[in-house]
Amino acid sequence: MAIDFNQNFFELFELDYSVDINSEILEKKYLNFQKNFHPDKFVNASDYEKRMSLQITSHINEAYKVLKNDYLKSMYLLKIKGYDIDNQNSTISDPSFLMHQMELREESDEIMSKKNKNLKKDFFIKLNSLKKKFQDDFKIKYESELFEEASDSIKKMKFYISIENDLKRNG
Amino acid sequence: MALLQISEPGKSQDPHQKKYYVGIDLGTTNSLVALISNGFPRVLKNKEGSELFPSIVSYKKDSVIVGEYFNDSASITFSSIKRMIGKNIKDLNSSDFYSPCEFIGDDSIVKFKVFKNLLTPIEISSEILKHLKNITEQTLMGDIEGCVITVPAYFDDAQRQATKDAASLSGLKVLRLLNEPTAAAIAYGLASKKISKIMVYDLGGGTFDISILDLNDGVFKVLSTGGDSSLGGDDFDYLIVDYIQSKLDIELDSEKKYILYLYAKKIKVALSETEIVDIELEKIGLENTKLTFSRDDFNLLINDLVQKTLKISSEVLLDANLSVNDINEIILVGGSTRTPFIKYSVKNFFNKEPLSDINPDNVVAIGASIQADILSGSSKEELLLLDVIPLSLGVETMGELVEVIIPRNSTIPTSSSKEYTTFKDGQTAMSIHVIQGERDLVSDCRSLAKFIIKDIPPMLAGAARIKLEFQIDADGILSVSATETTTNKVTSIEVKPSYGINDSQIEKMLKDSFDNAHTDIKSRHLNEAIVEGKRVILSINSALKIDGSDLLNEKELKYIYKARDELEEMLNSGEKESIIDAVKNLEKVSETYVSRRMNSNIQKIMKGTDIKEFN
Repeated sequence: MAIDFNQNFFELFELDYSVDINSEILEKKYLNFQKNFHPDKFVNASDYEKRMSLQITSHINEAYKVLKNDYLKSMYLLKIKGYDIDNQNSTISDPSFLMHQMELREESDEIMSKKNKNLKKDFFIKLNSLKKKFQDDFKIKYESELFEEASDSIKKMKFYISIENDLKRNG
Repeated sequence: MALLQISEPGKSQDPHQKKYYVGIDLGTTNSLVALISNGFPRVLKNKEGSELFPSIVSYKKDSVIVGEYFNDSASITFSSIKRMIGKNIKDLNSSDFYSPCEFIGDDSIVKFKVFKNLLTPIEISSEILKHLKNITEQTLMGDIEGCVITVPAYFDDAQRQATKDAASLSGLKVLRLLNEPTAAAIAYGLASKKISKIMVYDLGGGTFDISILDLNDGVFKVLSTGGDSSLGGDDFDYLIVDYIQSKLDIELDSEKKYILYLYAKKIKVALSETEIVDIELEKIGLENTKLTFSRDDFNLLINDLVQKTLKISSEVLLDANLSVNDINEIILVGGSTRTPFIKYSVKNFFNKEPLSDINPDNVVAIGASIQADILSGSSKEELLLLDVIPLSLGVETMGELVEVIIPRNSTIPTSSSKEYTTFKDGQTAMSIHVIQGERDLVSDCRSLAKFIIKDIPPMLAGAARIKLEFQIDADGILSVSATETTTNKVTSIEVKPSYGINDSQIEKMLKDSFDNAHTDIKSRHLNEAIVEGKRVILSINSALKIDGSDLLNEKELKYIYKARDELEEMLNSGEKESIIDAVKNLEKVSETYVSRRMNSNIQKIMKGTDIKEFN
């Protein structure tokens, strides 16, 4: 294979294992990969090269997507450490957070029914700052190697993201 | 950078047989062809000197005529066929579906009863492309070697696939499908900008499309799209007709109405130049009545429609999380954007002068021709387009719900895999329903295909693990493969496309069309094989010269030489199959070599981006 598909995304892009990656390196490497392996560069090449180019760029795109997105990147960092949140029970048992979830859901339902743009905008800003709080939380816990606790922060982030997506889809 | 390719496709092998790479704007109302000639874009003209080839296909008993409208009983005429391509009747709006003849199709692709034949929109579209191909090849006195065809940014998998199928039926090799707004941005040379957000406002005869592109260091992304498939310049003409009728307080019969409608088009065009026109009512048999129509009258008439386009524009902005001030460039596309009031309204809305120097009818075709030139390898310009899929792709799960596998706006090419298991002991087959769309319920989305996975090794329920791999290529077209992971057995997939046609049908159509063609297919195929063989030999020789001895040991080199010499011999054999086999063999023994070259290339890239550069 032309690139090492067994390397994790951080290795592939030569980045440090962290939420705060150097985005300049990420962008530059991504463009370099694309400029060399995108199918556009292989329109007149053999089928084998075309297939390789397709596989490589798909892989690069997946890696880029994960590394660009704080939530996906956080999950991926934990996965490398052996904590696969995707295949885990994602229920949150913290009762005060459950209350908070219910309240936010109600607020979101109300905004959906009102269809007011400004309200919606404000709500997105609020969701973002709440999410940011747990993102920072995650960082501290991850760096202190408290991976169980870090998983918990991600699950909470996930809740805000799902509320955001629902609102985007139905609002 | 094709590793094993050095021949320049733009340069012909045989000086008498010129080869061209063209861009094709396959439009709803009109189609255009453009190419880069001596470094400049050139838009082809038809016999009448027009650059617009009407997308109209007329069937007579024994012939097909493209570009002219026949309204007689001996003809069956299709217009706006693009609205129907890649769709079945169920998901067509009533405004998009129109049949000039009997048709069949309910759950599947529509088939029109055209005399003795049953024709799909794919075949009808292929007639347009065939016509464009013929005219181009006659005008240029050469062959079209490859083309770039533009499609609306929101076209889904089925529509893209159908467009490609139409192209292969017409004998065109598609290098890439290109999104229309992206083509417009390329035409304006915006690709050389470092960072930019571009809004493309495309108002044609019958459709309105708006797209936001994000350009970053030569990489284009489509951020969001929107539009109205039944809003366009034709609506302005109807408004003028209604206006005249109400001013005169008359109701015209359909024939006079049609005459007035054609006249309204002229009035509209005239008002782009002058402030006021006298309406000649003699045309509809009113001799002694006078009526004037000013630009202001016109602006007032179309104001609602123009506001509607701006409302859609702000929705698309919101969808991309952007505001008006984030937009760096606005491009006007489509003949209707010549209307001064539209230019003015767009300028006011975005607080910025829109780009409109290039003829708005031609701009998409010109962009496509630039891209074709780049893909052919003959251009020095470094341009890379990165596109996204416009709609999420998912599979049906329990309760008729959609599980998203690849979300919308994912950069393509992209792939994703999903594991499934059996729920019965000894189960050997499984059915997968692939869906495209953003809604939760299967019935609200579009069905793309049904796959039946067969030959699953019989095991206890839940023991078999079927890994489905979804791959979307650079044209936005999906393919699926399945593997049983516990035994690593590749299971077979039977595809039942919900629309469109499958490969064997295409093959049959191709065969049928070849049977009817008068060219000597056999000798053409042999020639193609020989050219391909020569190309591969040339490429491998030049690659070996650069790094053959660095990357390969003696034994490996010997294998490649042997395969190459065998191919060389076969070139004179006159047997197409043997040449193709020899090419395949050479490519196969060179696979390791190609991989190593790619690898050494990666290392070069890594060296190129030293961490120090950033500090």
